Amino acid sequence: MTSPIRRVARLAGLAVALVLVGMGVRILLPVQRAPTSPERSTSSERLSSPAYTVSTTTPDDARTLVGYSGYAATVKPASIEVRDAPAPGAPVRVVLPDHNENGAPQTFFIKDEQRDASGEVWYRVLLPIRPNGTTGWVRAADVEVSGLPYRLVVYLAQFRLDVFQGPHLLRSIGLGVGTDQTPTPGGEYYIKELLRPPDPNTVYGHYVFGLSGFSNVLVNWPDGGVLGIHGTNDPAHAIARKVSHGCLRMRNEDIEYLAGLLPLGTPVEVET
Amino acid sequence: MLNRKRVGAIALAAGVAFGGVGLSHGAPTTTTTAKTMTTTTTVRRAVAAAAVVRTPRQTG
Repeated sequence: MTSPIRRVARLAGLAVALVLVGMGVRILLPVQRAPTSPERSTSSERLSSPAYTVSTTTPDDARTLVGYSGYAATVKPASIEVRDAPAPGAPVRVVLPDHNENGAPQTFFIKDEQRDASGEVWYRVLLPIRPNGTTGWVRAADVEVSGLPYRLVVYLAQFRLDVFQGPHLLRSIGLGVGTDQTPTPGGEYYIKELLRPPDPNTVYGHYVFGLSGFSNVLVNWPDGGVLGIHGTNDPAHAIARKVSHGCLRMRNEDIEYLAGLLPLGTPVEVET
Repeated sequence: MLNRKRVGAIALAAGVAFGGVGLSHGAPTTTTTAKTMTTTTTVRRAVAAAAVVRTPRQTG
């Protein structure tokens, strides 16, 4: 027969064990947060936490930066070999020129960094090629790194684009998005170019940002179906609607604001 | 009177709640986290992109 003292002790032990199990369950569960609130956006966290994974650094050679939403890598040589792994002998995934097909400096968004066996630094970068989200490794010596102050988060279902500087919401912009037949694909992209159309009175409006991503439907489009963020010559029918071939449309005053603000490499998270 | 099942359920709920509290307070905020680079090259702040005058070919 178990004494009352032993029974209480066993119950207490069981309670402590279950508390610990419960904490473990809670920690292992993904934290779901409403994407509509800027301060609690999971997409923002995915893009920027962290843009860098510190590898084999020591305090002596580390350089600490605070306040950037990420880092851009701009190609320095006439062309750059992007490899499958951070090693000189790794297979080449793609070779890209120092300027892209539209004459913009070839720029990538840096996702990670690592040193190879010889101590050389490599960056894993998001690439402007199909399929969307493709990454590869480039030598740090082949690129110029710059800090990105801003990031964009697009909420397709709400026809809205939010501009952040660090944790601060600078501006919310109304959008037109892809139709059901040519939807805007969700994912992580970055701005690879800024174009100013010779004729500002077209469907593209005053400016066009080319993104690193592509339509999943329009594979035979000129230049491969590159996604864009642009103005419009028909604001009355372009905003808060599913109207585009996959691009994001906004009023000209909004695209002019962004054109005066955003560097190449700025990350763009598109939430479906 | 508390039986084992009740004690277990209460303890599990407390653990989940406590774990949640710990997470919500301990999760790193996004852009306020310092980024550390291992390279010693100078990193400048990126500036607004220069526009290229060109007829767009984006999906529109």
